[in-house]
Amino acid sequence: MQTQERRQAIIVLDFGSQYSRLITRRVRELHVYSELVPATTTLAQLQEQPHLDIRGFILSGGPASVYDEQAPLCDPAILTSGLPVLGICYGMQLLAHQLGGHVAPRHSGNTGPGSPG
Amino acid sequence: MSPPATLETLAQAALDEQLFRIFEGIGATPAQTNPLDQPHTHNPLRIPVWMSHGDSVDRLPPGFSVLASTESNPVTAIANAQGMVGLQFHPEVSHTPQGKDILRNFLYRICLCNPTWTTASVIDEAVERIRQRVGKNSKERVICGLSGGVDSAVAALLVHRAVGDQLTCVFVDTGCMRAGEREQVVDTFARHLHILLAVVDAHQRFLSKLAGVSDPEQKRKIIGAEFIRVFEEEASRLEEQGGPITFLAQGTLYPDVIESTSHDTAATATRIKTHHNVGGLPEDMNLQLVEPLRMLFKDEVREIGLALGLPEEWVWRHPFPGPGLAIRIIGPVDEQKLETLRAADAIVIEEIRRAGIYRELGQAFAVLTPLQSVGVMGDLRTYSNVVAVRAVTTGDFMTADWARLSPELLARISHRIVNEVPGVNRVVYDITSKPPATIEWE
Repeated sequence: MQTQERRQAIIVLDFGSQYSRLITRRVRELHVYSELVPATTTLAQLQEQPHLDIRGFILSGGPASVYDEQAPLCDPAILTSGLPVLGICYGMQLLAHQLGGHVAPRHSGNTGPGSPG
Repeated sequence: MSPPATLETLAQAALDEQLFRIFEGIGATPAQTNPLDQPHTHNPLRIPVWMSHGDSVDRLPPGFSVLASTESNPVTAIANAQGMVGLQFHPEVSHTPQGKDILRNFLYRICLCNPTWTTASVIDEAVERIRQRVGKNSKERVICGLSGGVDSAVAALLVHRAVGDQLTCVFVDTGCMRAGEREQVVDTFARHLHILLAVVDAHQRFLSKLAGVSDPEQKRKIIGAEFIRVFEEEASRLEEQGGPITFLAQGTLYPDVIESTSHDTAATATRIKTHHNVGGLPEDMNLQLVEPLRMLFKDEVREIGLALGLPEEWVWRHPFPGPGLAIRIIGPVDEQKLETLRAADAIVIEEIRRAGIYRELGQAFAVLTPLQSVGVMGDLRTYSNVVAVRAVTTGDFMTADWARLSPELLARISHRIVNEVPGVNRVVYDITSKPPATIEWE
């Protein structure tokens, strides 16, 4: 494996959105390698991967609210790594929540059959 | 989820190029501009986006600015100068038409990536990896079971490109294949691509094991177990002839890998049927796995297949269950019923291809039911079987909708089946979605 070149990669952290896989596919369609990893994956774990030259992160959407007791968080080291991070829906709320902003719980209206993303 | 909303960027945010990179160069199409609600004062970017309900950000983290809002959500896009971006809508779905451009901006303007993930580079890397693992010009041999599907074929093509004749492919004819399937495997792999191919005609073995069995789960188990037995016997025959075999190549895809390692229980949803993966690893065979498609999505596999010379018809072939036609014959399976179904199925596929809609469908096939009904053919009363036609559209096969085939197409299919296939005098069309029905009948 040592001879393997490191590949530029965008890491998608999966917070449970039905679209997490689609994000990974879209990035690859745009000709950048992307891997989908569990939300709890740490920066240190990813840096151990010899084939990855990580260029940025995407935090997927997900059904949770940052106020849920079990709300999955992002490894803070990822947010302070200096690498770009794109947060989508729940991922955006995590950015705000974990970087010192504030998230207002939305009155739970009729959200239809799809889960909040 | 709610219907699309209109995203509007803030004029002030657009002045800071560094902050605004995620929306740089993006504009609405003229067609989009018209139906959007009327613009107010200045001329900001206005595009439709697919919003997500739920919580919303009401105080920004230090260093962040609001880039865009929608009517119902003042904080729809945020960013800081370091390349952190938050979007309250889904750029990845096709309902956000400019979503791909937004992601492209993230990759190329913010992350400063280069376009390194191309079909050619994927092939080169896969080939290199296989060579490192197996060893080129070594004595190590690889065996690969071809199912007739695209995954195993592309896996085999990559291994062949990497180590040539160190690969031997095995195709087991279970007798439950579709019309022309075995011939196409032989024609493509042996004749055109010059890949070593062993074809095992085991249809008698499978049919005698299946005789009298009507329970679908039982059929699946029998075929799965027999397949492994036949494959093992063939592998030992090949070993006697040409020396030991060390590796088994399989067409495992990235979604299988994600699912088996996923933290998410929804992804490992309850199995409704025992899925039988032809070419699955025989448990007590001492083979090491080569899985060249392990990090690839299906659409990437198809592109590689095309690039490596797999015929287009094969690349876009609908998925076919491992147990084959055996689970599309309701009740016990025998040679004659298989022949009937093969003929009916071939007509369904032929007419759907001729109508030019094959690739729009997720799956299309015929089912031979044990129902018999009365008919008239000429002056004679007939009493023969009912064939059901099934055609579905689907994105991911987890859910599927029955395809709205045109009445003319259905008429042609029905007319041809009752006229050309002996033993069938009635054709019905399955108009059930999944859920509650499954795509296959058994």
